[in-house]
Amino acid sequence: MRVVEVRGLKWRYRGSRAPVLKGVDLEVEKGEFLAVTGPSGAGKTTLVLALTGVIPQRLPGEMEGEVRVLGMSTLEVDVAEIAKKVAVVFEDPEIQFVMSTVEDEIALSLEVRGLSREEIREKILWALELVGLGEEFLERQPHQLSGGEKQRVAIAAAVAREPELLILDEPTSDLDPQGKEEVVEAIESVRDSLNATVIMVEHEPELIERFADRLVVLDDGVVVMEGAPQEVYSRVEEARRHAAYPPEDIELAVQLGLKPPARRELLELAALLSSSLDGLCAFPRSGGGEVVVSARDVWYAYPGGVEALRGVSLELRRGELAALMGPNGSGKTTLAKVLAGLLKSSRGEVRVMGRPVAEYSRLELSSLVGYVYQNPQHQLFCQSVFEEVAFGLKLRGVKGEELERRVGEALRFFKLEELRDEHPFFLSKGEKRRLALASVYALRSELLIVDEPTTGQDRRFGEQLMEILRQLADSGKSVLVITHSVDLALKYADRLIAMSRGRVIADAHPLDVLSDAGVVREAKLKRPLKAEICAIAQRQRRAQP
Amino acid sequence: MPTLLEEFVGARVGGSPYLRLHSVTRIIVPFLLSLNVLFAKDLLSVAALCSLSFAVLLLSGVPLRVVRGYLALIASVTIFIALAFMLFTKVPGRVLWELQLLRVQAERGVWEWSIVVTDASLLRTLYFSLRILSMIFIATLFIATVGDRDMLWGLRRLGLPAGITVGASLFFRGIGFFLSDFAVVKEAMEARGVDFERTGLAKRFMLYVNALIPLLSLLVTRSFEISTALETRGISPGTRLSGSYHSTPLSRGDYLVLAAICIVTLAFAGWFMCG
Amino acid sequence: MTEKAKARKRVTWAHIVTFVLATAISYVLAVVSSLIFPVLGAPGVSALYVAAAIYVPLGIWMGMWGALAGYISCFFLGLWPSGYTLIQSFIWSWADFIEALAPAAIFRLFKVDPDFSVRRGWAAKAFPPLIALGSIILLLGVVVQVLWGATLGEPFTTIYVYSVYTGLALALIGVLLGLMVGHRKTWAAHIAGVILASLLSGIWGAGTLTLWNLPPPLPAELFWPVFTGWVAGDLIVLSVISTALLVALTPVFKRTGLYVEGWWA
Repeated sequence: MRVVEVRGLKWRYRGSRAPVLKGVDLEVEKGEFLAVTGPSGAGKTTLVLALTGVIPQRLPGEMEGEVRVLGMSTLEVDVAEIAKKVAVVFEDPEIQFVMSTVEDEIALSLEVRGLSREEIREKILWALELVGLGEEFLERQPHQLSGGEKQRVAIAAAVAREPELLILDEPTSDLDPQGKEEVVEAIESVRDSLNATVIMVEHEPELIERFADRLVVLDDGVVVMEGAPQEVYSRVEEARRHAAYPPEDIELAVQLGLKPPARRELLELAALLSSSLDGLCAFPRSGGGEVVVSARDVWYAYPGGVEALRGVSLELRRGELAALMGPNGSGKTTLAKVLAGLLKSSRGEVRVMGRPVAEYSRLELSSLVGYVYQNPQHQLFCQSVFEEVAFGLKLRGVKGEELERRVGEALRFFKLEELRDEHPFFLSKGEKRRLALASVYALRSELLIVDEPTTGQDRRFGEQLMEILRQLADSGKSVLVITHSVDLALKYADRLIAMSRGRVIADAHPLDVLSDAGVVREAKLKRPLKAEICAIAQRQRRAQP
Repeated sequence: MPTLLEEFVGARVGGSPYLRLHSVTRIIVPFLLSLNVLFAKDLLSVAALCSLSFAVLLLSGVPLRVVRGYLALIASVTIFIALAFMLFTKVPGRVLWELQLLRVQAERGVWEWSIVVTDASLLRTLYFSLRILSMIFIATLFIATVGDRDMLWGLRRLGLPAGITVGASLFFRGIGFFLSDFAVVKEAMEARGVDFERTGLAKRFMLYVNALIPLLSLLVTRSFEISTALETRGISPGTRLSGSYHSTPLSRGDYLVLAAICIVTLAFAGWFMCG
Repeated sequence: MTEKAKARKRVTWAHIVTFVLATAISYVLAVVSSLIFPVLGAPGVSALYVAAAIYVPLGIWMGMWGALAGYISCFFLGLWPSGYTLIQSFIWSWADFIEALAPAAIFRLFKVDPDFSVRRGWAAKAFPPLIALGSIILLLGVVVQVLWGATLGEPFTTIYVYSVYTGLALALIGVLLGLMVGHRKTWAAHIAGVILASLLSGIWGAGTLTLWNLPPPLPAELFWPVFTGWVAGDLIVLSVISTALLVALTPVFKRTGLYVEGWWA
């Protein structure tokens, strides 16, 4: 029986320049686990909204084509009716939590059904258990939960209704590695226990391979590839072109000219092919120039007494791209803010260009150290792209031709010239992030600190962004990126600074850091296969006379 | 479950029998006490009300340091009220002290602006101050003993639609969102070079405008995301959600307290009518 | 089979959630304003009530939702930290409801499609202080005449006359500059809205604090000082901050479809 039938679906949001979906055809069978992937802006979330009836019933725009879910036409049957059988879990765990406690949150979905108190209670406990949360979570409030826990509550709220179709829209995107792991286990448990058809929008190829029976690749509003995950990923170049990056083992195998074998076999081969891996294992290794920022024995405690930094010492140099990594709560963002002078260390010293941070005025310091926040919307203060980039410059008294020139330079570098008069609100996620970078870049800072720029983005965007940061480092700037993506750190960074519980536990070339199992474990890093292979090859070469 | 006061300022109310009362009781008691403010028309009745409110506040387990925080407010209110009676008007009575500030010979008389302290003005100041104090005690009782969950479940039991009940819950969530967003936005402005402390008042005012733009943009983004999530849960604004999941019956203690407060209110009303 | 489908106009979660989140922001700003810029002795009254800059534009963008946001944020402000009782707060809060309703009504009754795009930036910067200052001088003159001029004559009537001339002149120049900013109808409606909102909310707000309520928390003698402070503060906030937000965010509300042509949807 077909659970989902989509025919020729086109959708244009009101106020949008072009349609987001340009003729999607899709069928999903009962009991199937379908994965949908593709680059940011391809229309994946729009497709999800079309499957729930929110498009076209609640969002203004123009639709063509037909969507039937469980036999219901999304044009004729009200969203509330469709939602009785279709449950969705979205990317951002924060916005899905509308009530004040976990119990109330899950109960909300059940109260519309006219169930008795006992039945509601039973379902709440069952759903919580399914996602690996215990009864002690019932009274917890949103601010007491981690990202992973919140997302699991969202999944619990969805499965408590025992939907016939469960849609997961990038359920792990916004989470740190620990959170991702928790949610993946929850999905595993749900898949095993719930007799539902599942559609999962996801970027991570490992997750797709693990769960999906079939993979659909969406790009530029149309389905471009479809088939079993292995089958789709084996067409590596085509998949990559549509930002459907294959799992590491397949990608590496193709790079080495091998048929995609298992991970174990690749590792065995690594020992034999050490010399042939030079091309694969060529990573940037910049020694770095002049010290831009230095920290000596820095401590920081938040007002509640929580010690976020415990004796951190490091130096950031010109021409260097450093990746700062570690689990949530390890002190990464605190360290970054202390280096930027946004937080004052309780002990120790931070120097920028050789002078103590306290000697600078806010204006001077921000001209030397630029900080880009994780959510670019937090730092877009103006009503046009041009004004946004000009904001910091105007604060510094730059005007007239000089202003025009510097803003133009920043817009060109970040490919935003055509959007100069556009309101920042209407930029895509990626454009907003580039704008945030551009507005800091225009100030010509010596050190650029970028906080988790790739979280929630597809890999193609992540690579593009890291390319830009790499260019900036190569042009003589110092760049510090806070990230959870070990792959990107390995590919682009000169240094990997690993943190755990307020301390720097490793600070070396990414390959060297990732070769240390103890560090990888403590910093909760995911060691890429590439790192393992190259580390083996490196050890082999060193062992040879 | 945290109370409103705990959510606003982090002040935790210690365990007390009052907090174990039903949420309906904890909402009705301050409401009825506040009705008595209407009936307290002289110094004696307002003093009685003030004492009663303070006593109930103490019994409810609210830490006194919360009330201490109001001292500055109470002091400024008292001074302002005193000025009202001494500076802006003359309350007839025995003049205790007088100071002429300004005297203008107008076309049709003399206009004098003086500070005049009479015994009656002092008593009126005391009356108003005690009344404000009572109101503060009663309001503190409400927010220190009622949580957002109590209010939300109360709205549910009234059978109000999801648009109101879920909306009320989002109000409290919204406060949290805004406070954390504001902190980040302010910091982001500092990261761009804004120095709030060293900027003049007028410029700082305009900079706060710049801060409101991303905050409201985030509001719009969040509202679309939250509303989409709600729509997909099958809850429309008109849906009536059952309040029975958390409904518990009133206990004997609840009935006793409610009866007592009703009697007190009737007593004040009688005092007002007969006194 | 192809079909073009459009969303029907009805109250949706988007309206409700936007209203609720805006109310939350307004409440926090209300508390902050009343603590940072207090009018001493009048709890909850702020010399610069920044919260109005949220719910008044929201009224222009979303009709009744803005008025409700004003009401609810003021209601909670009354409870904490102002210390007013439920009943007093219930009555007092209509001041902010009226404040958002007035401009919303002007835009809807005169069928003005808000277009706050700025064609003359210098005029946009100049008109708010002129209107605010002119109105405040005018108001002070009227208060002087009401309190003293009518009964005692000179020199109060002269003060009144000069205040009226000066205030009107400044305000008029401000209005003319305001009309030059961009779309005339929009800016005219906005200026009228700012003045009306400040006056009406001042009357209700100061009145319910001092003259009529169950009971009024403050003495009647404080009506004029509270009223003057209230109106002056509102004029400044609405002409400066609200204007800036309307310019910056009206396109956002319109293009996202949140803008409400009617009163509710």
